[in-house]
Amino acid sequence: MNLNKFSNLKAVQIHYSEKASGSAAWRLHCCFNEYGINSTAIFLIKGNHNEDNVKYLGRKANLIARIDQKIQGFINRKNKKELGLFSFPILGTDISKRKEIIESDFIYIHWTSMGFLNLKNIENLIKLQKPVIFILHDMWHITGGCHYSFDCNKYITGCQNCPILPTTKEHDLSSKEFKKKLKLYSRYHNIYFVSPSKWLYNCTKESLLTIKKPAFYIPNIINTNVFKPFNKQIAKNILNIAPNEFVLAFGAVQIGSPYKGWKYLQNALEILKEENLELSLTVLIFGSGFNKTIENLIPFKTKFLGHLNDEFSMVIAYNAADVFVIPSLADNQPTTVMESLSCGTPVVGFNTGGIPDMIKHKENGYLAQYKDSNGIATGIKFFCENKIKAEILPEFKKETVMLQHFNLINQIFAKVQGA
Amino acid sequence: MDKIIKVVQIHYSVEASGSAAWRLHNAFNENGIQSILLVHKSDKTVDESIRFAGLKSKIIAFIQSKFQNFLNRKNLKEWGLFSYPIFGIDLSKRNEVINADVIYLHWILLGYLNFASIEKLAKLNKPIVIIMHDMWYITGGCHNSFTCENYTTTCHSCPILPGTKENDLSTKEFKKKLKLYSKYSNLYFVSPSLWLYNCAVNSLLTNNKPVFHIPNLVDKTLFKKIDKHVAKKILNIPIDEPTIAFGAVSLHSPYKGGWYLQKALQYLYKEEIQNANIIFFGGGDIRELQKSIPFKSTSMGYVHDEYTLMLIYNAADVFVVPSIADNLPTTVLESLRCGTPVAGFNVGGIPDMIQHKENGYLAKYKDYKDLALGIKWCIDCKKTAELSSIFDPEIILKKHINLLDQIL
Repeated sequence: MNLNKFSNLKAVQIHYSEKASGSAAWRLHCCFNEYGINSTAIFLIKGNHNEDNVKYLGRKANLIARIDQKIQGFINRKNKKELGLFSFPILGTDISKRKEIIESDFIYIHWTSMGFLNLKNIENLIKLQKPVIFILHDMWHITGGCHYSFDCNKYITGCQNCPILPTTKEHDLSSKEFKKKLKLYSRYHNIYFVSPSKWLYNCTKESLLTIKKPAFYIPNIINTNVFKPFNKQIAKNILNIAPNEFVLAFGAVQIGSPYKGWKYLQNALEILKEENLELSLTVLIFGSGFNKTIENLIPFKTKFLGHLNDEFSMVIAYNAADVFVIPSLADNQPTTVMESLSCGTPVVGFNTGGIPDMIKHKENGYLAQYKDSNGIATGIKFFCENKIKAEILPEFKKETVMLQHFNLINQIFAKVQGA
Repeated sequence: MDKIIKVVQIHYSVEASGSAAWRLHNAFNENGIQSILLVHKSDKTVDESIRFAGLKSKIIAFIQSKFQNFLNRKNLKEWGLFSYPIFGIDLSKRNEVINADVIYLHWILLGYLNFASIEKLAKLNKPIVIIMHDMWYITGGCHNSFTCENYTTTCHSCPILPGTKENDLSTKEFKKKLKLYSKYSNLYFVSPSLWLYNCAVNSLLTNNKPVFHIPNLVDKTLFKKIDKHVAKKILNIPIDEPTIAFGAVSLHSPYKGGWYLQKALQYLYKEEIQNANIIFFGGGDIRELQKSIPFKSTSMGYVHDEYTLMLIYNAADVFVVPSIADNLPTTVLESLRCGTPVAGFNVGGIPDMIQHKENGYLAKYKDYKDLALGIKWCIDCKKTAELSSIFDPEIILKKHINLLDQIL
């Protein structure tokens, strides 16, 4: 594709924070610039970059966000926590008058909950009549407020009587919020919805909110320059793990999160223990410092890596692992899976959300049946017996993903010019 | 020792420079001494052994920093920091402190503790071990006195302060410290470097006090040598060109000598080698510095994780420490642990760690040409640098245990 015609275009990426899930927004920002499209990134939370094209919002916006979080925390206090988050932004910051926004030709809105943007702020951005591309990092943009609907399908027809909310009223907060979003979305034709997973793409095609809207499937970008394989023995040596240990890694950033399914991994480990395998196994835990409770629940040797901030540290950790396990029950396109595969380490997970997009069963990973701990255990054993060097699937390669973004932009501007 | 000794370590933060306190804390806990860290802030994963001073401390520190910046606005910045704590919080009623047998005081400024709060701790009559991370505990306010020796008699006419009065703020603060120190006999001073140990022995504030020399501790299992080519490949650094690393918590600090590094690199390029790669890591915007040097360079930004630091040291062929005033810089210990030779000036505690032309190069103080030659020497020496056994964690830990034995 001839990229020259895009070279005078300016993009802006809006996201909560450059850390953690923000890495997807951050990497997209970097790739745009690498391919010659000017991209500016705007984050609410202060981060580490001092380039001119990275902006962090000031104290006022952060204060507003904290107040919003307090209010939401209070109103949500009786919610069913096991069904995860429910967000209905009350306060937010209007960024539509910022220079970077005004000068941009199109706007990417990533994850902006937790008091960053409310619906009014989003509307002000859409009103500028520039193409607005929503990158869906979870279901929030297509539901009445939950970030994952689990088995609830009400977002298809219109949210009501939400299982997360404590009331049993039909017209509850979810229904009110759903209508607000519907009104907002139907009023404008310059909005586009991009899902990083096929699962979420299908949800978008079904939701009453987005059924008539242009929806696309474009995976997140993984930086294969950083996340790459190197000698496993050296990686184990760096972490002081014996070279012949079989290392199972998992991320424990939000071990209590209803989305993350930690108890299924715990069961799988119990099953492996009972089988008395001739196997010296170490469980490598990301994202948590030493935790007695977790240690007691794991019937094998453990090593806690603490919270890793720097990508290269993660590269060491993925490389030291023989298998990475992600017991998520609801997940879009988890970055950890991409990172692990990109480091050559196969991944075991449930066949749910965007996980099957990335894993080819028994080739670069193992897809267990949803909520089946036995399946997870079998998957782990599979990679004990079969030393496999995993790879990311071709559709996730940077060039492929960027080409899809350029196609999208091309399509949008063709439409704009045609209109 | 029969019963378990309980130590509380009071330190500003457990990130980066806090790592000395953090590592000692871990080593204590792993070796049967119960240690609790009481900090103003932390970026490490918090477990039960790390406690926070709380919101009040944050507010006080915020106000303190505003006050001090205002009052110090006319100071000569090239002389570095001058601190005279106005506000601070009282930690003496905290359970962690009450239950402790010994109190370790590390770096406690920027509004965490003031003299009154130190005195309240001293009044508890528990031994207080003061770990000096710079000269502040033995001067009238500066963190490094450079060539000034007034602290050996009594601080006055401080070169940092803008006035020309003889009895200035440094005198006032010096006298306050003197009064405080002489009132209590439960204060023990520990210096990580021989240089600072000698300063403490000579300072009027501490010449009658028990002073000890115990280096900082760097874990051998975390910082160690790995295959240089692998480290370079992971970090995407060319393997066929020499790599020169420079890093500090704050790259622009007047103590860290960025200007000398810039000069040395320019000289190196002109006279010796043209194909090197420079890696910078640490806090601060260094785009200007990058532009001013003739080599290709990469900025790693602020590195949080020890694993990534270990990769950088291993990828480097030489680590440069152009500090013009420094105690016992952790970066040098870490680099040598990873087998990478270090070039630096013969100043502060740096000669404690570098044996000239053995594991690195000690350049003449402030002589950037000699520093450039040192960088070249390290690149060419092609052997694994070793850190002297006096820095072995077991030996350092033993020194602390001996100290505790003596004072309890």
